[in-house]
Amino acid sequence: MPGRSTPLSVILVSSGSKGNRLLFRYPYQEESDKEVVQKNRTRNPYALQLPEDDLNDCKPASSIRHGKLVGYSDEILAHILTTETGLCDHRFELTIDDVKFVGQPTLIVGGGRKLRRHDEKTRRESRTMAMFNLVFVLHASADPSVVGCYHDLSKRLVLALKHEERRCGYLSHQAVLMMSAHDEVAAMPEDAEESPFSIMLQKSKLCRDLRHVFNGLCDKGVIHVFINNWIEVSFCLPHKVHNVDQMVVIDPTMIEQSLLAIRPYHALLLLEDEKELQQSLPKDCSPSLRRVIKWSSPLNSLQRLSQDTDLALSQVFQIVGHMVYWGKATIIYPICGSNVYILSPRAPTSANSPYHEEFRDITAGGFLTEALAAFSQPTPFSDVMNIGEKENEAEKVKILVWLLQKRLLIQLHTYVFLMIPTERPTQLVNLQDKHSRPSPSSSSASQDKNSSASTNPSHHGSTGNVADNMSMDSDELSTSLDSYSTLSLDNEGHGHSRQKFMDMLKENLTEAERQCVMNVPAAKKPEDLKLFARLCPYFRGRHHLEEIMYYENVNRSQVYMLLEKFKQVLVVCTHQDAATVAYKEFL
Amino acid sequence: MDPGKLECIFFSEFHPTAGHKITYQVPEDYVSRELFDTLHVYIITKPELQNRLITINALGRKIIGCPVNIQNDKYSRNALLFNLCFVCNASTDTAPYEPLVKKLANYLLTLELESGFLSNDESKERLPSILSDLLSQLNSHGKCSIPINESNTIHLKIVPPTKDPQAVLEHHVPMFLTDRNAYDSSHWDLTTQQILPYIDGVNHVQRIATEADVDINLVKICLQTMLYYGVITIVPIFQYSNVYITQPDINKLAEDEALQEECIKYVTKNEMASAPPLRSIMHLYGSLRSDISVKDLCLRFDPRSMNIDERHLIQFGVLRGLIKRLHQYPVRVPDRVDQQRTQPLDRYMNGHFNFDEICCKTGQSHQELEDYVENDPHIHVLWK
Repeated sequence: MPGRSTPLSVILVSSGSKGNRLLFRYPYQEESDKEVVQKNRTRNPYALQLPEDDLNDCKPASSIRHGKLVGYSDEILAHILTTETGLCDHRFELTIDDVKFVGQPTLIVGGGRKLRRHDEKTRRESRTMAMFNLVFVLHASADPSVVGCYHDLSKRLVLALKHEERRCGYLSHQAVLMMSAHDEVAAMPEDAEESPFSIMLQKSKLCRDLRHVFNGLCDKGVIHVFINNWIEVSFCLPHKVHNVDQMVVIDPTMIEQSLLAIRPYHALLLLEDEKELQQSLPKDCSPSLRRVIKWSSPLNSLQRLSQDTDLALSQVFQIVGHMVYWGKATIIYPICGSNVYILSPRAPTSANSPYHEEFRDITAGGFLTEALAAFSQPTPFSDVMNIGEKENEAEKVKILVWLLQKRLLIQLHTYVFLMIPTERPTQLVNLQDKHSRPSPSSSSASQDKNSSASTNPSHHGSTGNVADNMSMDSDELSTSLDSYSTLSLDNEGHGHSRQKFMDMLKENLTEAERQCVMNVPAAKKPEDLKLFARLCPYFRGRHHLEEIMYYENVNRSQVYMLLEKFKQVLVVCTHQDAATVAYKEFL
Repeated sequence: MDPGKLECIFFSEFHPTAGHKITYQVPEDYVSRELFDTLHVYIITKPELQNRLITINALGRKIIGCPVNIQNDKYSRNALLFNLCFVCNASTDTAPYEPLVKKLANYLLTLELESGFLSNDESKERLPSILSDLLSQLNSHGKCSIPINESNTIHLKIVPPTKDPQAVLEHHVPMFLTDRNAYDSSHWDLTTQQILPYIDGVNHVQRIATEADVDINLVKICLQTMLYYGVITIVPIFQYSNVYITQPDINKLAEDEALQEECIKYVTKNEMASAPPLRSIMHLYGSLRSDISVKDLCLRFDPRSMNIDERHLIQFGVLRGLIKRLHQYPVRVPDRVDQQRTQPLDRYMNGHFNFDEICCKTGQSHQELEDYVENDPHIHVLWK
């Protein structure tokens, strides 16, 4: 069963002084289909009309067979797809039972003064055609975003054709070729099996182009044609390129959102071989694109890539976004030893999936199952065993890159939440709200392992006490800070910096949270508290450690130490990158 | 997806003298003469397209119709052609209306064949009021029942397209999404009534079938129906050997206060004692990793001492999408030495079955299966 984003057919119709004509359709019906269709469609004039048949016929016969459009004669297609002038130059969308026709009917106007001065022949030909329409036939249940993409493609091709028609009467010329093929077949003896469309394919370049377009859409979802060897039309159907047929609902803005999720610390992972990709590029493509492809490495961040290629970061982003859209690359976090991977929920566990063969080829006889088993546990990449040859890092990375290219793995990231023991904030809230309720018994506090909370003197719960406590804390802090400043080399501006990070804490944390943080033993050490103050805006579970490290320019061990020191108030969770979950599904 | 409102309903026909025209429409003059003339090809169609559901999306409108053709000598042109169309905004998802249009066309066809409803001018006069009833009732209630004559009543209901419910398997555990007492159990069919008492979020399907003494296939069908109506959900069977990982939605628990309250209430073991702090709950969720089973979690942190019921903790997490169960799939790598080895369990070791399924199918305990897998060096376990 072909996917919902695959077209059923492509049809070119025109209307003019010779009436509505179906010029070309691809794929044209096979003879065997035709017989069946005719059985269904043609009505025997002598047959009894049984209206009951229509009543019982709740489910009409499908117009789709073997992924092709059936049951529509050329005449009826020409009739419904050539539209009144009122509908021209607008989006055209017609659904009949389970097929949808999408196109862009276009008028061929006189073409302004320029064309009038053209030679007599062109003018005569252009007058025979008043409008034309290039229609893609889709499944009626195709997602609206898919329909939108096809309309876009139809519009592009139509524009190119219109331009060529105005420039040199290309469409009229091709139409004459197609018409002559129709006439040729009509003149043949009746039992001739030749289809006019196969004659057209030999004679007309436009027909071959349309066939190429259709096959490209069915095959990979990527099209690259030159209309009349002149106008380039390239198009990519993201749904097909990224192979998301199985997704039920696709948000049309998803790709854009995904591209926005790209950060400078991400890396570009090519999905195709670099050389093949370079060769497939059009000859006039931007040299920057070639440079990015040449220098990209799954080990290096985009920032590094920008330095290597000597391009502005924003330009690298644009190129990367472009490549991701076209399905030539994907975005990952740069491969390093501390990355943690697990299997993607979509990874095939079955022992006979086609991936196994491919894996055996690239690893010279390795077993994919073994590699997948190796990544089943959330261990850092440097500790993953049993894949590739022992102690061969390059081999290991090669396997990882392959697995990532096939999207068999997802990366886990660590997120940090600032979570304080609940006893104290409720108490504080109560106090602040001036509720004269007795404070909850402090005995329950012992259940939490937060020793500092239970040893804190502010249990007795009066506003004064809290304030005292505050001042006591800050006194302690200032004393320790003094001792620190004697050790420190730059003892200037310490008051300022202390003020600064106290302000940062105040800005980012609630009163109760700040209380708890200050009660953690490590908060007594100013350098720890300073780092905490710097990083605390990221402790709301929205940023993973790698992002924090990038934005605040700290290294992993520093962050880990901080997490350890402040573990009484922090909670750590590990999951996929939230910003890119949808996008990982998609790309 | 919420279907947009119907903008207009019109009845068009092929008039013997005036040709194609809109005879009645509610509200008046919504579809202009020009628009209709542009689109009439798709409304009063050629014979090839009759009795087909046609949607034309053009000029900011979506018109859904199903042209009908009744051939009979009594009509002045030997045929009666008509089409009752719904009009929506161009961006509306019209899929829910499509069956309605088809059904209405059949109603009108029946009426005409039985009593000449449309060809008789007197009864045809009733159409505008029927159309306006249709429009107002469908837009306000999503359904309507309009009596036409003693034998015909137009019953319509907008059914938004829903996904098919997931397949119910033997090892699944059904669980009520809301309080089960909210439903009057007498409304269910007899079989469902029989299994209702056993749905408690603990029993798995196979067990429910045994306990209720109902055939397992019937149980599956009943559960699937309930699943379709969103009454129950399927949770993985709770075992201490299960492994879960947190999902990005865990952020909701940190931010959404209503969810926090609900969560604390749900996971509290003893309601008399003080409720567990959010921090402990969050800490437990955060400690779930794919190398830590629930058993390890209990041994390490002892949730009961914090007044947390681990079963409820896991259930709440799964229901709200905060955590996700990881299944283990044993896969046997083709043996290089002894090819003809045939152990009964080997046929399940192809990656298609997870531990739960194998246990259910073979009646082995989780521990037995684990031992078996452990003892065979050629079997790898994949977690996903």
